[in-house]
Amino acid sequence: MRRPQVARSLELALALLCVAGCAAIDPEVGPSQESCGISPTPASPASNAGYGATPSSGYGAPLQPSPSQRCTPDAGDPCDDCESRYCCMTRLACYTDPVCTCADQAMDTCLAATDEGGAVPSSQAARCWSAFSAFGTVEQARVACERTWCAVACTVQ
Amino acid sequence: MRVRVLLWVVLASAVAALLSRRAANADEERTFAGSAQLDYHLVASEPAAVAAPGPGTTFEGFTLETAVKTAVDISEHLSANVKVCFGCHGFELDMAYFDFRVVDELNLRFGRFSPSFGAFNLRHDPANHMTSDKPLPYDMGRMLRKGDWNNGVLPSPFPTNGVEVNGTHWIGNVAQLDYAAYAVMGFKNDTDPNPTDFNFQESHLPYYLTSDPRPESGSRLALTVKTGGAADMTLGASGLFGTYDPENRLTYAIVGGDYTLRIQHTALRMEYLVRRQEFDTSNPDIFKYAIAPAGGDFFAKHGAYVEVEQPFTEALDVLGRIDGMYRVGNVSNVPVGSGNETPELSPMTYRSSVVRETLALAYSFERNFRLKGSVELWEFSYADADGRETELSFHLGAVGSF
Repeated sequence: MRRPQVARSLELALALLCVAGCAAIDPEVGPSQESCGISPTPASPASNAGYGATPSSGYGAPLQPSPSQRCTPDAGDPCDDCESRYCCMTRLACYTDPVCTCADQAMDTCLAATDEGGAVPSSQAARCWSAFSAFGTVEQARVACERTWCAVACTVQ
Repeated sequence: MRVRVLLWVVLASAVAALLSRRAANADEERTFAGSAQLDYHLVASEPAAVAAPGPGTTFEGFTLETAVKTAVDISEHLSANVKVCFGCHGFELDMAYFDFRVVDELNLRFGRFSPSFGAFNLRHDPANHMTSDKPLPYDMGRMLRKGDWNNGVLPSPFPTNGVEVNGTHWIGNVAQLDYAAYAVMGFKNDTDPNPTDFNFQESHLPYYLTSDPRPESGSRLALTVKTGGAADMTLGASGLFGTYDPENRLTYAIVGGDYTLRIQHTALRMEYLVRRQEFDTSNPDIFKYAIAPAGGDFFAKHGAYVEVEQPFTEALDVLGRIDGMYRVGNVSNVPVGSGNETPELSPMTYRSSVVRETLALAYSFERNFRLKGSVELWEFSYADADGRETELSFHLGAVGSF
């Protein structure tokens, strides 16, 4: 009578150990940044530089910002123009970074969903900016520059 | 009670050993040994998947591994070993340690050495294995797409500074129990602002200290059973744990099991390793995937190999091997050691794998001189820039030892 109980306890302990052990080596991840439409650009066939365009870099090719994401003076709206003029480095840093590019898209969506479309300061818009900054240091640097030079044009909060 | 008696026996043995030490330089025995392997690696898919040495690349062409070793038996209880090797990283002090053997069951090792882990570590010298390269879990640079993977699970050898206690206990004439426990400097990444993996390059630079003050600790236990001279079998388990960043925040743990069976001249070897490693998530920008709120701050890298070694004639050996790795977890978009300055999309995915099949021949012209040749088929779970998931490579090398 006692023997089956011991066996059952051992089985239960082993099962728990297996579950705990598997969980300990089975990490989780969020959505891929490629889901934002970002995909590696194939390396130039003539470059002979491994997987990327940069010699000996090895990884996927660096992200190439689209024309509207560069620091062109006719970028589109007052915020883009101001940022292109005064915050080119942090803007390019964001658009060449997969996470920041996705965060930027998410913020555009977030601001568009506010009552005023993000055009005027509001608590809803403030939450969008906070969420964008929380993504990382590239995002924080971009917001800091916009706050310094383009606070009015970009309605930075 | 039994433990106390055993402790007294060990203590008494230690005291007796100390008292019975002979005078210095008396009956010293010296052994001088060495080996050299020159290998040519040809990758059939050149140039799309290979390039000059650097992150994310593959070594192609000639590589040289050479080493000289001196072992000195200073007394019945004290010995010293020094080994210097030359390879892809230049000169390296692979060993510089003293062994103070009280009894077979108690040996104290201190200095610079490769801690006891797994079965392959004992055969890591190219003169001691039949292939030109190492099994993928122990790879330290010869694998294709090595920068994507940042080498194997536990590159071998991994010389480091520390102390180890080991010993062997014989159980009659049929079995032996080996154990080892150690505290060593371990792996590190002192340069990346957001460490995501070991920086093996740092361990080969002339800067042998680490800003991570806590030692890595580990142990190994192996049981060998012998049935006469015809067959033997070894079953082993190993594990180690440590931190690798300057703040001692990011932990890593490696565990493994190994099994070796030798019947006559045929050898079957298999090993499995897994490394669980935490990474810094304070800058999510560098990752390919968003950071999961729970369980998103580590990755697991599994590795295994099975190989069969069979002599065909006295001079010709054949080896068949299947090995591979499986990595699960978030992927950094910056190569280790690059300083996180150039984010680029890594071709690896959340779950990436590589499987390699190897057929190798080794022909001995003389007892200590061997020609090695092998063909390797690589199957990756992800495509390279040209959309290729399968690669073919060849090794041709010569190895000598004395």
